[in-house]
Amino acid sequence: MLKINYIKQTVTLYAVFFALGCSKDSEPKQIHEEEVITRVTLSVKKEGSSTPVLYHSNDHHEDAQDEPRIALDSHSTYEVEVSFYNTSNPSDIKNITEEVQEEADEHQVFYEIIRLSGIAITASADDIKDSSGKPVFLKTVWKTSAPTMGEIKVYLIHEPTSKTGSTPVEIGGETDVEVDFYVEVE
Amino acid sequence: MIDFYSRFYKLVLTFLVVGTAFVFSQDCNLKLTVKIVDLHENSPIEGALVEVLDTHQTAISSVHGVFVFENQCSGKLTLKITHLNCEDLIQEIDLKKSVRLKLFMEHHIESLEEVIVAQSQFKKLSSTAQAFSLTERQRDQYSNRGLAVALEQISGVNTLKSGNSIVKPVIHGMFGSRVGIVYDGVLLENQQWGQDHAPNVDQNAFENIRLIKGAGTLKFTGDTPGGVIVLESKPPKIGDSLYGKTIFNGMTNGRGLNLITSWVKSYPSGNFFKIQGTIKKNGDFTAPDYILSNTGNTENNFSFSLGRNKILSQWKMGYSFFSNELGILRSSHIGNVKDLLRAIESDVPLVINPFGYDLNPPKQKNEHHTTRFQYTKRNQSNGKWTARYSWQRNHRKEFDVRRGDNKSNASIDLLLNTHTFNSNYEWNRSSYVFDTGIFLQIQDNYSNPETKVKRLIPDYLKYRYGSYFTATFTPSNDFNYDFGMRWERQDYLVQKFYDNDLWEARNYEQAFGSSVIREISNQKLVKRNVVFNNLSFNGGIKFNIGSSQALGFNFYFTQRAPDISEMFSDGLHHALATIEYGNPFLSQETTQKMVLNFEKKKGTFQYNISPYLTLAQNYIIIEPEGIQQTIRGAFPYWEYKSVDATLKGFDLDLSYSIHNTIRLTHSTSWIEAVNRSTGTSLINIPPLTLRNHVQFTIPRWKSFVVGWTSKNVFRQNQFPDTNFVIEVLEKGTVVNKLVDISSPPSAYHDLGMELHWGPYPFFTDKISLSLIFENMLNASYRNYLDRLRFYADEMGRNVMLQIKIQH
Repeated sequence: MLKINYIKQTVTLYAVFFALGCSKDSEPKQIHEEEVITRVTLSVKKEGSSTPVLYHSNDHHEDAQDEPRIALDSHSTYEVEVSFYNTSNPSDIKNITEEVQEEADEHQVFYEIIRLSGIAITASADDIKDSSGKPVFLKTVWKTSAPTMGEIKVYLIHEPTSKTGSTPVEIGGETDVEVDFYVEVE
Repeated sequence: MIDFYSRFYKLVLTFLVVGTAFVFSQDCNLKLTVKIVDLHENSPIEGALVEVLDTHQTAISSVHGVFVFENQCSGKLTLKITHLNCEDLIQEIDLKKSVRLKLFMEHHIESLEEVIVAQSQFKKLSSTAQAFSLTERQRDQYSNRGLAVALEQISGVNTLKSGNSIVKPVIHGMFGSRVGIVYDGVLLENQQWGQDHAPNVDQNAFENIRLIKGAGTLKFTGDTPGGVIVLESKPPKIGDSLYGKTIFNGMTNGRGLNLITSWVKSYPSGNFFKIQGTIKKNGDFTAPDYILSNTGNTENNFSFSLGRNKILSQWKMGYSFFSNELGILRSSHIGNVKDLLRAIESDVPLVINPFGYDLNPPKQKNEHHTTRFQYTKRNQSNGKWTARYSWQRNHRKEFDVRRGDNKSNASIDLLLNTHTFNSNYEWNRSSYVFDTGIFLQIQDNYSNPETKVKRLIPDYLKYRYGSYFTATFTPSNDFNYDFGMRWERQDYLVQKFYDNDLWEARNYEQAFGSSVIREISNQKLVKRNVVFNNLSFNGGIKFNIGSSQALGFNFYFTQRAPDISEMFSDGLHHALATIEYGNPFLSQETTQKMVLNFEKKKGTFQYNISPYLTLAQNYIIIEPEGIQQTIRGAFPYWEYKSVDATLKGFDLDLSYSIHNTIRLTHSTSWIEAVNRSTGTSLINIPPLTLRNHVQFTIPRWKSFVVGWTSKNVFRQNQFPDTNFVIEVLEKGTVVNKLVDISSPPSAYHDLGMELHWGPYPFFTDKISLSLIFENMLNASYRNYLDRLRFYADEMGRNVMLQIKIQH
């Protein structure tokens, strides 16, 4: 029943669409994720010392490592600085800490102390402060007392609902980073 | 006989002349001359009885097929034409001046539906399967709430939501690519894989919304076992007329406004032009106890179509543009499972801001353009050939809460272009209709790398082509049966970057190692061609028992190729803190669905009882597979997999009228779905839902209707357990806490009321008013099928004022 001329039209249309469809076959560009944090670094410097010791916690993308172990002396004071990096493009490692500093109002670093006794973490005098003068806790001072063992959990919170809380529940917001560092005070 | 009629006619005419003498405002000297012609032989039809329904004038067509009505007043009149062996035909004419019209009649009873092309009837979707449609009032009542919410009035249809603005239809427990949406002959192609993807179509551009609860339209789609939703525009009238409709909605919850208008201009030549537009703006919605911050939305839609309706050939073309911007509850954007636990443990959302219209991340922006052409030609031997081409361009952007330079950058940015061409031929005979066609579709998905976020959906090209054949037999008026078959081939050409660690962990090297085309830093670019052949088959029978009852049975066999998302998705979902992985080893899903339908559609007591059973093999679902440790903490990861499943249930509709003043309706939808591979229940299956409606029409108060709707949604007691345990520090010690993401919320009751006045004359137009109350009792409840149920209650009381003007 189908008339010949309809078939011709149909075939022509098909040919056009196939041509259209096949012409686009370009290779997708690789995406380097920009704002992801793949490495958290703690730079720990004993008071009076001039060289800090660096401890890294890497995302699962990197070579699997054991959780970093931080060795501290008892009854001492340490200056600790936390940094966040994006290492997803190894040839172009980005320091995300700068963005956190720039957007100090929207960020909060928080330390949770697990099974460690006698360790106190306070904001350093030269810590980055937000517009209302509250420290972001990027630079902190750790004071140790008796020998102990445990973990310190480092959080980076984005858009916290409160900046004065003492637990993650009180701080609220979104967790961008949550990593554990083993700590041994000897 | 003729003599009698001509005398009768003269008598009527005399009355008319006398009658018109008292009418001064109208031009009543118009003459309507109509010639009725047989479509095939072009010969005049003699002896057809013609009645003007408005004035009860009658006439009989002469030997030349002509009848004349003189001294007619300007305005609309409705002709009813009856002929031996024919069913009644109703034709509306808008008389402005004296005209001569030619109406074509099909000389056989079986194809009367197409007697006149411009007849205001819609073609049956299926001769055996029950098609459920929305009345005009049902459609208009939800004109500002989206397609899915309007469809939810039909039993067996539920909605899957991500808040109030993102709502998608669920039919018989299935959604997404298992439900097809066909609008003006085009199968909607937008991103539909996620729970937060609402269909990108404006239901207000269509006058008819119907659905079949099964893969009942093989012409358009064969892989939608859930059902098909068909949206159609009304064919314009033939004749010189301009008409339209404007709806204004204002609602208290969200302080929203919405304006919809549509206009049709038609000419006696059969040419027509239609234009339609919708604008909508809502602010933050509110639950009974708090504001649902960042849940507003805006929508701007526009469409036009033009064409020519002729008996022997028709063409039409159209363009439509749909765009929206939808806010997503701010507190539902979370970083990790601890944040999720905190949200679940809190009774109120963790972020509540003052009311506003601003939309901030998380939000989505969608744009959907459709361009279509259609040409239909009839031949003298009762055949009809149709060719259609459509181009859909869908642009979807999803915004997350981000930092730095990427603050205003989307996290997902997908551009989906779909070209579809189809052509079909239809034979109409006295007791059967055959329809066969071919189709070709090319789809291109482009995932913009500028998002700087790993692609959730890869770039792909998809070719889809095949053919179908359907046959409908009507051996007698009381019995008909139909069957159909559709075959299609789908070719996916996918280019995807895999992270090396995932590649190694899943041992993909063995299966897809040869498809790696490039290795860059810690990723592999893989180019794969995946082919699926799908066969769909359906068959149905329907018996009419007496004049009011009917019994039908339909069987649908469908094969569905896995979605690109089901095979290749790869990324983080912020609302559930889950990582989702596609499964590249999936094969196609096969379902067998049986639907029994017993109905009584006349009389004071009417009912529709419809049990169904779906057996599925390789049914694709997503389930939690484990916990993945990342720098953001622990995440459960979910992976697609295929299982054997059984979905069974029934839909019941009852209606009872008392003295034409009270109408009671009831509907029950029940469904149970089991994963036969594990014996557990399937996730996101609607709980038992009862809906009761009472409507009073008070005859003394002309044009007033009041109704109450009560909806009982029970608690879903059958659900899979996907809970998991995380470690949380509480008062210095580590404790294990259960993250309960499985337990459904409690049952709820939703009471609504609606008052309708009108239509009343309004200058030259007609005006109607409606006042609609939703969640009248301001009840606080959560909905199992709302993904944001972990974070906030559903919307509280809403009062909506609707003004409708028919031009």
